[in-house]
Amino acid sequence: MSMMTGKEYRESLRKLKPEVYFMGEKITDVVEEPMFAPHINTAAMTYELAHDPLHQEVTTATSHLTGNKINRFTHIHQSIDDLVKKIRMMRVLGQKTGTCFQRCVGYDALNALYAITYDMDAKLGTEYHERFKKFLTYIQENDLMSAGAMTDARGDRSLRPHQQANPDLYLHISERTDKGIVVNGAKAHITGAINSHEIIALPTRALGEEDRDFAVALAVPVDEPGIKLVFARQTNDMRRLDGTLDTGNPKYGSIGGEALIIFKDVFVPWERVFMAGEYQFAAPLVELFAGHHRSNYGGCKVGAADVVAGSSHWLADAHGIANASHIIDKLTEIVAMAETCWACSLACAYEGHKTPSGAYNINPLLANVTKLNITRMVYEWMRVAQDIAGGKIITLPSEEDLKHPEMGDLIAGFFAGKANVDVHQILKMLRLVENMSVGAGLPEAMHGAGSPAAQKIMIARRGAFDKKRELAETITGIRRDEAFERIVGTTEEDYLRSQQEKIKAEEVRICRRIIK
Amino acid sequence: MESKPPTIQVRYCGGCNPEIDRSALVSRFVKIAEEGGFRVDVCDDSGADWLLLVNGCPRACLEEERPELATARRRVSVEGSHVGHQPVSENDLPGAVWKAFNALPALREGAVSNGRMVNPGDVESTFSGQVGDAP
Repeated sequence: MSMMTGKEYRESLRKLKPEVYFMGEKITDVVEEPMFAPHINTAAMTYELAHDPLHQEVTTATSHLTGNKINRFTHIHQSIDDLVKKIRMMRVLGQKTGTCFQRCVGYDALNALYAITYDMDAKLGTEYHERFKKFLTYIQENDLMSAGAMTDARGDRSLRPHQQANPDLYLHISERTDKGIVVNGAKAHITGAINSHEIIALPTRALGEEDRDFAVALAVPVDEPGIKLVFARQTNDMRRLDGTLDTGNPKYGSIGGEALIIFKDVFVPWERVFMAGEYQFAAPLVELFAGHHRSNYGGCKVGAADVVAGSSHWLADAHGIANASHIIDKLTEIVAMAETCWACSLACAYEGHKTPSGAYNINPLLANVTKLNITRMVYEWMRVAQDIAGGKIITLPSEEDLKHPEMGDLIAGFFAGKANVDVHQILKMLRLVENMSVGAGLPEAMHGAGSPAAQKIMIARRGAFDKKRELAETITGIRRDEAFERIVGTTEEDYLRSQQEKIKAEEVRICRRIIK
Repeated sequence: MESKPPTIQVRYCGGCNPEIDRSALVSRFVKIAEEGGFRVDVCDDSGADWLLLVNGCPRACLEEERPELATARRRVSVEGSHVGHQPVSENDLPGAVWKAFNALPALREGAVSNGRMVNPGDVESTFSGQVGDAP
């Protein structure tokens, strides 16, 4: 099959029959469910832009397995250029949707598994890599969307997985047979889960030998028997049912449409199992996946920041203050913060490297720095956007009132700006700012791809303080400074002694200079 | 006439953020290589029989940004604590580099032309499976 279009992707979901629950109901038609529609539209954009000549340079790639042209979201990075194009693609998609387009999580899971299965086989003599490549070829050839599922429920955080009273708090292997494994547990907060074709589950933390059964990586179709999806609520989500204005972004929604994935006695055949007990590779897999994923945020969130900056400028202009110095200053702040994060993500890619598998990885230190910046800067640029938009974003009347046959025009008139601007456009733009800056997008920027503490652990671990100490020791002379010795033609000690002797010899002249 | 020992030329990356002590690695490697009958040259840029690329970190700038070095077939590349993109502890790097040179078919077969200064970028079809190739 060739790459799907956005429309074909939507249609492809109709063939699946996932077990989905929302608001106490079992949802039988995912595609037609109005609460899910914006998320499906957003994911569809990842398909549609692969056919758009304006963006194909970043949204498509050539498979290193088949040589075929594929959607970049199914590609394994083969170069620094691939890493850079991924980040550029993320920004474009953020700009087109103003929200999370979901598909990067599975993309990062594919790349992490590709590299780690290779490492596992090299060290342990297992046969995961070839198995994974077959699965990857299937994903690429059918242009499937995978939900990357990492976070377990985790229960008592002070206990390791095998110590939990309920083992299902971490996804684990309950049974091994000659045909495959049976797993139980759950994965929480999983982006795009209800509208993916496949679920790729990975361990969520470093594991010890006693946690062997929790060291499991696998892929299952989203409608595999035993998979139950519980769609999450969001701030103001029911506004989607009230019309098109109050919800703010009726086409694309807000963040990714997360779900709890419950695995109840799910059978997974061996050809879809990519880790089963190799606990020593859980931590490297987590770190590799997290690094890839954290590096994304200066792409996707910056694309969304472009939308916020645009809406802020539009609103300032509509109210006649686009040229006010304080507005220009605030808009400049948004752009400067966003471009700083963009620079971070690009740096992750440009400083990336080849792994033993041949696939490329981003710079993990920079990826964690990128995400840590995002946990702060998204809040900051949304704060500025709220500042520019004004208190109206949380006090606007409802769409129903604005449509009231007697009151509608009267109410709308009080929200007018410049005479030549349609007040209903102003209201739309205000609601967009509300959608992006007040809702679920902020905590998503905080916790998506891991919380700040997780990033700081990785930054501290990769901070190379021993090397930095050596630099300070060399400058202070505790350690030999060979370059300096070549410059002065003698040892540092002799040079400094001779300098002091010179100063003493010139004491009278130098004292005169001080007195002057 | 006395024959010149075959030469391994060392090329360093810029060293902006090295994860390893590059000069310590090369100092230790020189001893091993000289015992093996090789000369190691860190200054001569005019060409050599063999090439050792010393990148301070896995970014491997010498390979990523210098195609003529990346495609040199008679070369071994260190990328931080990796040799040929395979992880090696820093302490074991000199030995791993020597092992990698010895794994090159031409070196193993004694195909070095003593005294001949060869451009490391030359591609010779007999040299395959060198360290540094992606699997």
